[in-house]
Amino acid sequence: MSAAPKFKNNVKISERHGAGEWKLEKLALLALMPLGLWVLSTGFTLAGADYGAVIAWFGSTLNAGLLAVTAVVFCLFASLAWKVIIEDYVPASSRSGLVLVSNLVFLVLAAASVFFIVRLALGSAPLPAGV
Amino acid sequence: MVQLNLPRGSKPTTGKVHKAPAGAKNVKTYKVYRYDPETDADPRWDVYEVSADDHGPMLLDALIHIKNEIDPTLSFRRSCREGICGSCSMNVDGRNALACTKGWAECSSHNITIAPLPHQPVVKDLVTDLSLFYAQYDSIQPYLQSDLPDPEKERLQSPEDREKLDGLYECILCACCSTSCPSYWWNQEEYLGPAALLQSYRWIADSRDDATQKRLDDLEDPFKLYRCHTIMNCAQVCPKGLNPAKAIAETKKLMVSPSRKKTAA
Repeated sequence: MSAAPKFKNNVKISERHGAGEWKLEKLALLALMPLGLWVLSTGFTLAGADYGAVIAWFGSTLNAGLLAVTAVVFCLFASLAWKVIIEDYVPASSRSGLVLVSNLVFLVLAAASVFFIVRLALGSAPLPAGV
Repeated sequence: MVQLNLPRGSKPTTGKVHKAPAGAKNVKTYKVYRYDPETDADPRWDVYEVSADDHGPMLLDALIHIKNEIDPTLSFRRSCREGICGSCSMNVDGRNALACTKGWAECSSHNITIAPLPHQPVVKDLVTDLSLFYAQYDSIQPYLQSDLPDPEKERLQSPEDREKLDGLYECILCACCSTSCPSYWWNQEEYLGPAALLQSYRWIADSRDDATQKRLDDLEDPFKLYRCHTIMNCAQVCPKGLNPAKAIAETKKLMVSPSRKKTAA
């Protein structure tokens, strides 16, 4: 979280960071390209499959691991992208709070995704009664 | 911050219409933004009907003709009339340009709209306050900084190193690029803008300059540099055909290059 910006002759003084975040965003995007294609192709493969086949797919450590990585990288990329959008469109006084909320939302989403992927991988996600 | 509407008192109203004399041929209509802070009235669009036969081929010729012959109250900056000084930058039909190098015949219709550079405080009519723009240019320390003592003659540079400055040194600081950039519109208090960043890279790329790492330190900031989202308006409107977005991309690459060494704060 950035402190209030400081200025000299009306021009902002450098916070001396930003390159790391930029690099992380690009790396996350690069990782999401093959992972996204893999998730898409998996979706087509599993479309119409029965419950047992889907649970069996999740039972593979490689499948579950890659899906968890995809979910985490997606949430990381989305949080960085939302931060940029908030910084572009929201007044400086409200930025920090909104960025914090956005980061928390994506943290919860990432944690929930990993939790449910693990549950499915362990086969501990029975069908709801009546289905 | 983003502004989707003009503030109260800034919305232009309909202004005066200056008709062309009867029988005038090849008439063009210029819709020109007018604002006089002394009258404290809302800005307005004045319309001038001018025969293109009465003046030269450029928009600046038309504006000078309007000022000399029709309405001496019209204010605009101009100086060299050949695309070197950058004074007559303005918004023509929604696109920033130099009035001295843009011909009225290049405009798509007979109705030409001329406004001041976007998202800048208007001093009067087509004259904007570029104080912040110049302060940003000043902040990037646009001069050679060398660790070597001054030589007796000039500082030598190989032809290859000199070539690296082509497309960078030609900038005339007309502000067409910065004031066409949405990122600069929304966050110009914190974002340096394409013109200042192009000039900064001009010195970073100069083989004779030894302050590269310090210059990169001064730029490394989520807003000063990284508000550039490669929208490319800057490259589209630059009247000198330069590409500030490419210079910014090169700067971003240097920021994460293995040779990057942060200097002490």
